[in-house]
Amino acid sequence: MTTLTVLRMTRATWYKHRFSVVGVPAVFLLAALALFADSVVQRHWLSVHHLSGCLVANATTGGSWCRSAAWASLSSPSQTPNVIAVAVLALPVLAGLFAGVPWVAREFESGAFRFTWTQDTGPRHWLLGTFGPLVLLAAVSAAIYGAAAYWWYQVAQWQAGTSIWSWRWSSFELTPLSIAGWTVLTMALALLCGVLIRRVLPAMIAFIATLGACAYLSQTWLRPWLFGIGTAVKQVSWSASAGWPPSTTTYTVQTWLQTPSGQRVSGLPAVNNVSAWIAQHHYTSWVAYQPHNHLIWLELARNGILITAAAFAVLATVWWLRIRPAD
Amino acid sequence: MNAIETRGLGKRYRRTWAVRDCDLTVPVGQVTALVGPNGAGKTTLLRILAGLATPTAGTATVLGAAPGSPQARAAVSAVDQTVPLYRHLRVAGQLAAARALNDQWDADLAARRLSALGIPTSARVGKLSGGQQAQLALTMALARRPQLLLLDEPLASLDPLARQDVLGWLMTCVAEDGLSVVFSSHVIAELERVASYLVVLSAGRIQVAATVDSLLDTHLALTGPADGVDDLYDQVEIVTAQRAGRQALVLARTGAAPPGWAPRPVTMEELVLGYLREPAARVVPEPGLEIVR
Repeated sequence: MTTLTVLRMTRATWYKHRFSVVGVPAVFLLAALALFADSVVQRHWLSVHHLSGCLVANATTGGSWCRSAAWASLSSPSQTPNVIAVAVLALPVLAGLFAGVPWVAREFESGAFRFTWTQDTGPRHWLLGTFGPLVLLAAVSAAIYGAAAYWWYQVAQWQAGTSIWSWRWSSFELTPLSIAGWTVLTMALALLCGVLIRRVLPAMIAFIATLGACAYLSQTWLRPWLFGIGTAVKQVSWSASAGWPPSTTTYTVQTWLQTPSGQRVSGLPAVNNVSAWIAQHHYTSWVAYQPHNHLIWLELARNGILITAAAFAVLATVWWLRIRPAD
Repeated sequence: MNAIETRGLGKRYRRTWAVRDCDLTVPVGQVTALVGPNGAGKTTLLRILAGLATPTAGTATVLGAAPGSPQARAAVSAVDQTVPLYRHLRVAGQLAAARALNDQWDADLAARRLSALGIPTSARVGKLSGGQQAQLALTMALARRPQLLLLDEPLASLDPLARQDVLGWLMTCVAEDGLSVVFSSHVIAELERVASYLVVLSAGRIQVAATVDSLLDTHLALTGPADGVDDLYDQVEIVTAQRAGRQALVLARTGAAPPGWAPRPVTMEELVLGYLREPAARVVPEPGLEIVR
């Protein structure tokens, strides 16, 4: 497979699908612009009210004072930002649903692929040359969109009356990297569903079902599993462990009591003064946590997994095209 | 080199064989008519040769290369019976996409042909008539300057005048560029004017594959008494015999008529219909022309 042929196919893609090629990045960039504009307005308001320091994810400059200021300035904390955060994550899904799936499935449904496949290009060139530019453009524009979303959410979560905490699921997934990775996965799954099913509507339904399963697994299994990897362990006083984490930059995975011989204590007795009971038995209190500097590595790991899953989806598509090209 | 060569070629869809045990050799430079009843496997065979379908059994080569290989794709143009085009594009966009997809592209040929046909490049492909779409597809297929052209029912949506025009244009390309053409059609009378090689497919199997001249030279239409048909089987190889009252019309593979039978040359249509009426009769590829019953 020559690069030249793929480039040639890419040029043909421009002629065939220029609305999608322009439309997908345009939607991402418009959404980014909207989030950016909203964020600028909000940040200006905070600046006017001398509350800009509240956007720093640190307990000493943020914390209760900022929360009080938020509650004082807002009649009630709004849940709208969290709803919008979910909508932000849904945009790549919509791109896959309304651009990715039909892009491929319609070629099969209309039979137009028979035109392309009987030119100098074959199925694999068609696949990479047609879909590659869309994925690339979508990923780059999604990353820009992710940057805007991340910047916007810093204000939005304050507006929602919650502290700035990078480990919250929405913060973790509203980063440029995360959104780009999520977009690549949605596009790869759109490709797979389109090539497997070859009918637009059924492929769209299959895509939603598959992506829903992926999103569910990501939330319920992948993130908790990742957050449990490579944790730092620290001995803290019982009273400190109750209030852990001491700053909004860490993520507590687990706390436990330990006997002097190193065994974990299961359950606490029904006593009035737990601290005294712990001191009396010479138990120590421990916490396993993710320090802030692990955040970027965990994000990279998560996106690595998403990209790997996307690569498998593309390989599966290529394999399927090979064993069942057109008939 | 042969334009097409297949050995034991077969294609199965679930439990049904669309093409089976297909041994076919078509030399280059021939205009091959591929005929057969509906469901005979013509489209499947052409799609395998175009690299659009993978065979379940056997092998196939086009111009010495595997169908769908880069070499084959560069040398073979195909127009499917569904006339695959991007109907949301304008004609100019469709041509630009085709140009981008091919190393060789004769833009002048495409422009001249479309201009002669009165197809405006600003028109949306989906708004063109069925005949115009077929003409556009044919034009793009030939603008690639292929060595082998595979056409699946290309004339079906054309009016009689346009059919003649397309056939004439194809013949010009064959004469000027040495193009090999394989086209399937139900309109046998039109094929007769242009085809130099005949392939009859029946129930997924090759029934006849030979040059038209050799077939016409070796077959005669015999008219004679209906009660003499049984005796005739001992004298000549009979493909089909039709009785109408006391008369019988026999398609026979023979160079001379037996006594009592009036011979006349067969037309290609009679030849094709005769073999289609008798699926068991078969003319295997040259040099061993024989009727296998």
